[in-house]
Amino acid sequence: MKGAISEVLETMFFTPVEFIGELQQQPLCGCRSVIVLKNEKIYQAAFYFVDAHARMITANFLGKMEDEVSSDEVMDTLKEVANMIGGSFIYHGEMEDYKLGIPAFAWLDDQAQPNLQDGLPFFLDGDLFGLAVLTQG
Amino acid sequence: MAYNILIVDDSASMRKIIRKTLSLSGFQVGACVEAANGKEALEILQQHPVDLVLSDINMPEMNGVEFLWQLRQDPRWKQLPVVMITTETSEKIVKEAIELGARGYLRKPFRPEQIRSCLTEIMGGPDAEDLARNDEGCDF
Repeated sequence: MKGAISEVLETMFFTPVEFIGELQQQPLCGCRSVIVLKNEKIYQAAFYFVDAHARMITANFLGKMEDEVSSDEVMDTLKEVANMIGGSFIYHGEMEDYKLGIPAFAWLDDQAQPNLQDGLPFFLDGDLFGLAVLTQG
Repeated sequence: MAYNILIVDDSASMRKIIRKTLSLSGFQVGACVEAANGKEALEILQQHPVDLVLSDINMPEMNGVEFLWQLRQDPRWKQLPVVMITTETSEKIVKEAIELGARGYLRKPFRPEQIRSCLTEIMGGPDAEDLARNDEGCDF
């Protein structure tokens, strides 16, 4: 999963993340994009981002300033993030013969905070940038 | 020669990126039209003849393989070059696309030079031979 996240965020979003950083329970108020990976088993890969970072990678993707991106563009871009990371994960052999579903997106409220311990956090310049959570079922 | 292109992807952002990448890459683009799924793409083709189609595979309503199949049923579009630009890499689906006459595929995420090389390799161009010596072309 680390390779897939790095490949996608660096290649299309010009955002080189790392997987080492200080892990405090920080709020991930923002959004979540999700994609299902299906074969004999079904997995769900969810990607949580702080709102500001979601806007940042959307701006990087579209070649715009951060204050120029719309909510629809953030939603669409983050769905594409899930789509590409899911696809990269399958391609690099970690889940061969799995097929991707159609990605989904949701804005999160405070009640929907993920537990950082439950997933793979990734960092940019030492700050928590996002969280990937892979679950079965 | 400038090519008229149809971009088919359910992500509006991805369609923008592909369009922008094409225009910045030096590949000669004439008119560029867009569709959000295969069904819409077939409707658009009735009004806007194109020289090349760039299509995703995983889309609601009608996916890229179904779209390709429908395209090939119409004598007008039997030979229309189609390149799949997709996250889908299962052997079965890639084989299906090849059998339906897809001329290439690019895996997302892609670098801008990969689109240019792939399309120039398929459509031809002054530097097609130089590009064929690189390893940046289509994956088929």
